[in-house]
Amino acid sequence: MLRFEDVSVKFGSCTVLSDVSFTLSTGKLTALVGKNGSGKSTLAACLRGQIAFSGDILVEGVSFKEIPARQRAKQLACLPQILPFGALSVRQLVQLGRNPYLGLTQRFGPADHMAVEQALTDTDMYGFAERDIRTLSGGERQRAFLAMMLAQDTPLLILDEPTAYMDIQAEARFLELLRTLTRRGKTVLAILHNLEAAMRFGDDIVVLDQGRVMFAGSKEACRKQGKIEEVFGVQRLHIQDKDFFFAQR
Amino acid sequence: MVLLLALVCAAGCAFGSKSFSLQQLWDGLTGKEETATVILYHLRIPRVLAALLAGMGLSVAGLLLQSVTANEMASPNIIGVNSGAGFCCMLLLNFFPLAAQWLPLAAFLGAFAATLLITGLSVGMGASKNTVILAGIACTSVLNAGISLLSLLDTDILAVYNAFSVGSLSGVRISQLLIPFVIIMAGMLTALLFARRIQLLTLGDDIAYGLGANVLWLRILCLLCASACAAAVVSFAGLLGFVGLVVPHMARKLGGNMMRGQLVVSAILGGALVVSADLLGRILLAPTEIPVGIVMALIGAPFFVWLLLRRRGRYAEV
Repeated sequence: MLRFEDVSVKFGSCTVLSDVSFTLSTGKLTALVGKNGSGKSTLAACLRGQIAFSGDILVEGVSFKEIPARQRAKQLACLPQILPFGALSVRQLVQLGRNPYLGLTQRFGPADHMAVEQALTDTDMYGFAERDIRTLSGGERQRAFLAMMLAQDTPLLILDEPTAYMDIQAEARFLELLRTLTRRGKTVLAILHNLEAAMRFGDDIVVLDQGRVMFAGSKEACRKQGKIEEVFGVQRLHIQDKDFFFAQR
Repeated sequence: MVLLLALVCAAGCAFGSKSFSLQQLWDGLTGKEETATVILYHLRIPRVLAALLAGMGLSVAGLLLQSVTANEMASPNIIGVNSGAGFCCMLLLNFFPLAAQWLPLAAFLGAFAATLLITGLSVGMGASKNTVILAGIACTSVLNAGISLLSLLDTDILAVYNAFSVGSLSGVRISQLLIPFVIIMAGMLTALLFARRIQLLTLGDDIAYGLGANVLWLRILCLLCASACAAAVVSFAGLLGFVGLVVPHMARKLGGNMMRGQLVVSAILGGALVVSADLLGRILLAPTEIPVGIVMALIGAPFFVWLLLRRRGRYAEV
């Protein structure tokens, strides 16, 4: 469905991504992990069409560069790391998710309204629909923006550190929600800092280090190969089917 | 709000150094009273229309600029409208002193050329919201230095330039407004047509890209619409400050969260504000007139500070 083929990004003489290649499995949650500066957010920016890259990203076998921006937004929805504080109600924000489907003079139709209502329901944000997004907590705001992505009605969801400002409960709820979405056929790529959450909620794991893919595959294979321990310099404890990581001295 | 605008326009026609009652106003409009008819059709109505147009053009330009730069302090000044117009006027006055009647055209061309230069530079630098402001600051500094230099060459033209730079609607004729009217309407209608897309820019580039917006193209479109509107106003009203800065703040408060509503409210409020300011300027020290630019600065600046104080601490991060 979504395949990276030798994707490289250079900023001046600095190589940020180097020959990144991996495939996202359909209907699965792939957790992308890596140390600070490993190129995770740059990869997300490539998917938004925000920066130039060499190599290719194939969406359903079609080169990313050949798909017009609005068409692309019907295939993959991207949530950036830093969310804005616009003066909008949750419903107005979610309605903006329908932008790829609306022409300049086209009015909001029944299908658009239905997509918005469904997105609000799926993210449990129906009760917040008329609230100003500036008054929401960090977790609620992430869900509001996730609802906007869902209104985009794309098979692919890309989220850049969506749980960065959440407490442990809100993080678990949010990632569980992403897993629910994968069961409904969505393919999710979530960039995560929390290694334990990545191993708990991710179906597949991609490990980036210094712009290179060090591992891409199932989390079981990741455990076996010990790639996370190697790249992050941490130790892993596996207790009651859960992974715990702690830094080595 | 439309009613408020209509009332303000009626007041703008009725009051001045010579005031009219409602009956006199009607008689003047229908041609029954010759003096009133002459004053209304040759002085008051062109002036009210000019104020209306100036307010609409500058407010919409300000709102567009604040949206594309995601900076609530942005106004037409930052894209070089004032400095471009001023520089071109100084060039004309220095090198073609007998062609002062072409001052409005020079102002328009200068303002538009400066904004095109700044747009071009910011596009060259990636057209991010910050590069627009940075390119604006750089170009404005150079143009202001040029104005100062030209004023040293011939100090006599400073008086003419100062009168222009204050911003005034005195003696404006209907014929002067036709081309600016077309330009401002075209700019406003284009902005309304693209309002939904422009709204995406207010959420930042990352979100806008994700929603399939062509961010670079949209930003250029907004800059062109804003610069055309502001430059058109400069051509007949001189350098009017504060309208493009203050009115968008009021429009965001009264026009709802969506860009389309804000654009409409911005145009109405801007028109009403400049017509009111011009009216105040005519009656406060009558028969002496205070230029509308000075009235705008006198009421605009304190009002703006009041707005900011009222908003302080309302949201954690805005």
